[in-house]
Amino acid sequence: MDLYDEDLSENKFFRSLADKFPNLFDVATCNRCTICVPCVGSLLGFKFSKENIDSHVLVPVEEKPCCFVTVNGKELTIQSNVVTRGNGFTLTDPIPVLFEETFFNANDESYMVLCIAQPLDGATAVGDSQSKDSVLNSFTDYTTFLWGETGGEKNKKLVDQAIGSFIGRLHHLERESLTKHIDATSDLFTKAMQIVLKNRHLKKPAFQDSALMENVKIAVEAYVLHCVYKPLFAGICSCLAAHDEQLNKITRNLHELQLRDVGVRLEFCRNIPRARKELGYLMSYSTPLGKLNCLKRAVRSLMQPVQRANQTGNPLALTTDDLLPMLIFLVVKMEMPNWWANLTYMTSFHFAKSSNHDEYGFYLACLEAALEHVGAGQMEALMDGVETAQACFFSQ
Amino acid sequence: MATSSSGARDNSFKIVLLGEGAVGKTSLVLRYVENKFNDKHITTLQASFLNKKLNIHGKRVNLAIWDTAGQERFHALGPIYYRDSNGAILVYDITDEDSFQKVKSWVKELRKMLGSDIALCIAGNKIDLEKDRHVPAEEAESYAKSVGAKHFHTSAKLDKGIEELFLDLSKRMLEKAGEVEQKANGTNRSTSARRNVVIVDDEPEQKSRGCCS
Ligand SMILES: Nc1nc2c(ncn2[C@@H]2O[C@H](COP(=O)(O)OP(=O)(O)OP(=O)(O)O)[C@@H](O)[C@H]2O)c(=O)[nH]1
Ligand SMILES: [Mg+2]
Repeated sequence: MDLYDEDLSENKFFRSLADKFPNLFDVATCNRCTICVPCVGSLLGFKFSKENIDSHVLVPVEEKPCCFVTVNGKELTIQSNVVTRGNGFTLTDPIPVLFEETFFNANDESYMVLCIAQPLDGATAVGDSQSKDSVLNSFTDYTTFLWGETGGEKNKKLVDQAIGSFIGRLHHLERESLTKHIDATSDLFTKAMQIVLKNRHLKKPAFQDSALMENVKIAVEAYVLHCVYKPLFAGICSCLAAHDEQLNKITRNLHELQLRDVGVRLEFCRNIPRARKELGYLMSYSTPLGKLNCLKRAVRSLMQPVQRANQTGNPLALTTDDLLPMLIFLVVKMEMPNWWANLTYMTSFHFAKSSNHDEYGFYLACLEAALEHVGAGQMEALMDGVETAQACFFSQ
Repeated sequence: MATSSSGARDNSFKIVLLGEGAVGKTSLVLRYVENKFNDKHITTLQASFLNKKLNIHGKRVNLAIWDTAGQERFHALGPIYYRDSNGAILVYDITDEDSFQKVKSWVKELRKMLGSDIALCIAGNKIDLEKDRHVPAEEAESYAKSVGAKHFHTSAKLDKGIEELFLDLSKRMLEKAGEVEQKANGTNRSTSARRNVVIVDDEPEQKSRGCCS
């Protein structure tokens, strides 16, 4: 979510290399060199000379993993997503790699392009290393972002009216289908978006800048869903009551469940308490994105680096077969009365999906798989699958 | 929060890996997304969900690669993982005949559940163990052809055939996305499986335009 992105094939540096220095570009791509492209915000004052561009085309040094030499003979290393300049460069401060993208030459062989925070050579002014974005974190941020400008007050009133009439109608939806709840909420979100985009200050720029549009959508969703959360979530809970009751009946009977019963790998056991604590905050969030980030933090803490028992040098890989048992354990132990309602709120009421929603989608699928597995009464089968973690030290 | 603009040329595709336990699904993905610029020894490798950005001759492709649970006890959860995927890689171990039969049953299940919307690749993995091969190459290839899948010979150990596999799958997903788009334009916006909220800009010089992906 918080990662920088830009379309490198539109980046002025990349275009200059490809269009103005076609020979260099051909040699570089045919030989599958790694190309460093300074991010668009850092190119102010950059001199697009052959010499400066040469400094960004890298050839790996044989037998030395992270070392490179540029086509004009300068040395550098890239490690842990940081470029460190060595012999031949005048400046030596480390430069972050923002992201990498795999490109293909005419023969469909790959070469790596790294988007870096500033030029390695040839920067005359210290530019903005990364285009700045407004980061919206709190409810106050959202309200200032949405209603701060001129005309904001009027629009806020209109959105609040729509929210009021939505809440009024919710009572009639009670006990009715989930689809109706989703449709009604989606309509409310769309209506609020239309009102907000009437604002001159937002409309034009938002339609031109997809990142700004994403922020508007996130802010609108946060505002609207925070306001309707209590009655809406109660409605969702009653739609999913049967599912949740069934799950709760099963988890109540599994009080004795131990980590080893679920087959959690020993190496990951000690990450469980932190994940459990993170996930414990789930009910304190009122927006789908708030809950999603809570889930993400919980899963991320399950993936914390763990010391490997035998130092083979191989990294320890956390696979879906490792993640699922841990989530199953958490679902059983958390005493959350409305897992299905929470899951549904995150999957079906999050309308402001960003372009990189996939990661959340994966966490949601894992949580759903865990709920499904426990709810289907698979626990006996599950307890048979134990081969690992016999000596797990985690105690309840 | 989103940063910078990502244009209409961006394509996000979801790929699932399916196959019997221990055929090398996780090894294939890890090899493919291997970050040569990161010190491997410090962190746990997140092998269950991985992202990779490609730029295929000007078309940006964002791959979300989902590792599925291989353990038999989780088999019933398969649909939760593979639904909405644009591509699937079905992996078998060339030294293990049973794992190839398992691929066939996955193909049947995927075609039944997802129809022809999904692009399929079959990977015969561990070709470094050629001397122990138990699945004849011709048989696997002709089977793949018969179900509209592409077959690749891979080795996660020797890093063979993996990049070709993902590139080919990505190209075919791009093709399918193109077809869908054309159809949608022809019929004036068809229904899509994923829920879209469309904000219509009512200013005349900008035609109606969805802002959600
Ligand atoms: N010789 C050889 N061994 C391989 C190859 N790919 C994977 N392996 C080995 O096969 C074993 C299983 O590999 P995994 O990648 O864990 O297989 P998986 O399909 O993810 O297994 P599950 O997650 O249990 O379903 C490991 O010991 C790997 O080292 C290969 O190309 N050649
Ligand atoms: Mg695996």
